[in-house]
Amino acid sequence: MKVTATVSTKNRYFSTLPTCLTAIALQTEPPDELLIYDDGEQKDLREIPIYQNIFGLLDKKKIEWQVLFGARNGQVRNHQHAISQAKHELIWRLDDDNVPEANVLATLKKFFKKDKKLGAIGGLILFGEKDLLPSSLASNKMEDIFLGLNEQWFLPKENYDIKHVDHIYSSFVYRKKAAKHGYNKLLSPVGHREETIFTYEMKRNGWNLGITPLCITWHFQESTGGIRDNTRKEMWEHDEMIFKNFLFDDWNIKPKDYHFIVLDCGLGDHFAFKSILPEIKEKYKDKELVFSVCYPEVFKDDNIRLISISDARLLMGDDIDYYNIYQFMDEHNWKDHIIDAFKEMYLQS
Amino acid sequence: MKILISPYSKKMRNNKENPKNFPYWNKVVYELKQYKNEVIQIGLKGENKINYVDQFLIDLPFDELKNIINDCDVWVSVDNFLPHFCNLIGKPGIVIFAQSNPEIFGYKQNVNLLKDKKNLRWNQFGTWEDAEFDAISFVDANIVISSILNFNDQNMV
Repeated sequence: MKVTATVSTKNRYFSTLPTCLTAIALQTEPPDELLIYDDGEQKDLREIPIYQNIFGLLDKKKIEWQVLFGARNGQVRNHQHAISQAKHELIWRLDDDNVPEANVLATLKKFFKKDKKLGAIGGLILFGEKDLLPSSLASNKMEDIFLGLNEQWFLPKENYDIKHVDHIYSSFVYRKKAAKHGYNKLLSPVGHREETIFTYEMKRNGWNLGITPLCITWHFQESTGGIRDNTRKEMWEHDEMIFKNFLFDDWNIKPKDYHFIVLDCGLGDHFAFKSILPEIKEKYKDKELVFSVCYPEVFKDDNIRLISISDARLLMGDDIDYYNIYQFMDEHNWKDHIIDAFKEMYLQS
Repeated sequence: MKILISPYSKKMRNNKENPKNFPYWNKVVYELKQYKNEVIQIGLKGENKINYVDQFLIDLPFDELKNIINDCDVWVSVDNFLPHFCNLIGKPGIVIFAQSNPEIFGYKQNVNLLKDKKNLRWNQFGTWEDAEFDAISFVDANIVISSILNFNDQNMV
């Protein structure tokens, strides 16, 4: 199966773009075509020594490449253009700060041979500057969208080849004929949630979507330049509003409403808390309870979704300290029983 | 009597003696055995066995622990997880306090042995690594022994 790779870029000529293009060229199974959409200063890259080397490498790898000057209207327009411009049946989309490991394209392509209804598949998207952690909370189900934890960002808890999902993030390979619905043209130049809408619409049209931990693309998150450079807060809010309209009205999705309990404390404290569990379940009966705990065995028969403390820290950052029962008692000059402190923290608010 | 003891609190990160650990267990168990009592110690791998105990059960799953506790006439522990666990399963026992406050961490249905409130640490919510072990802050072994031997009588009153 032949592949067209597409990269939408803006003013990262001398930071991440050369790394991205080189990584594409050095794939074990390189793409057959590469479309580079330049939304930046639109320099003639053929005159710049590093690009002379990169383009020479692409030629030697028999990758037919083109630099196209974008309309500077954001990546959604470029992605849409790529669908009509791409010569081949599979399209591999990448951001200009993505660095795919050498096996990414070969790994993702194989899944299309196995599943004729596979519309798109992505690998892990990991961040070079962050710790590599597993997460039992991350989810690519649409009902979990507001958790803000994408499964592709984390090492899998258990190995698997492919997991079917509702949407895919950032960089992935998709079947051109599964993309007939196109990208959403109402989105601003930011293109916030563009791939979520694009891939979920694909699923709604009957195609399978997958993620796999068998290959990794590194996301370098360069702070300057990029396709979302010089965008405004209002654009992000506009796109979020459009996304929510789709979510609630068109797709009729009811996102899960989570309530978090954090027990970053001792075993005895877990049992003390457990004595108010019936009241907790009653108070939050309309929400999905998620307990972040140090001793999951305490709640093993209680039908509660359990996550680790590190999972909760990923989600809440330093706000996790708000849930520290000892800090709570200290700050409130607590004189009553610890169970009453748990009641005050979780049942009174 | 069948007596279950949980003599230690969690090991501290600085490897010092946990200030919640009662220092006279060997004497307590020795005396209990003089009265032909059966003493079962529970704990975690790496903890020391108390002299003269009949059994030392390590790393028990909570289901098994619950059954063993319910099968005992009385349980005795320091201020560790056990009183909270036994509160959940509704089984009263005896807790040896020293520097932590039973009004915050204890349960009224238990016999809470506190030598003197003046030994309570000023910051009840700080880490235990910041506190110092002090054997004098605990009640005497004889008080623990008599509390155990009289436990059923006390509870029937």
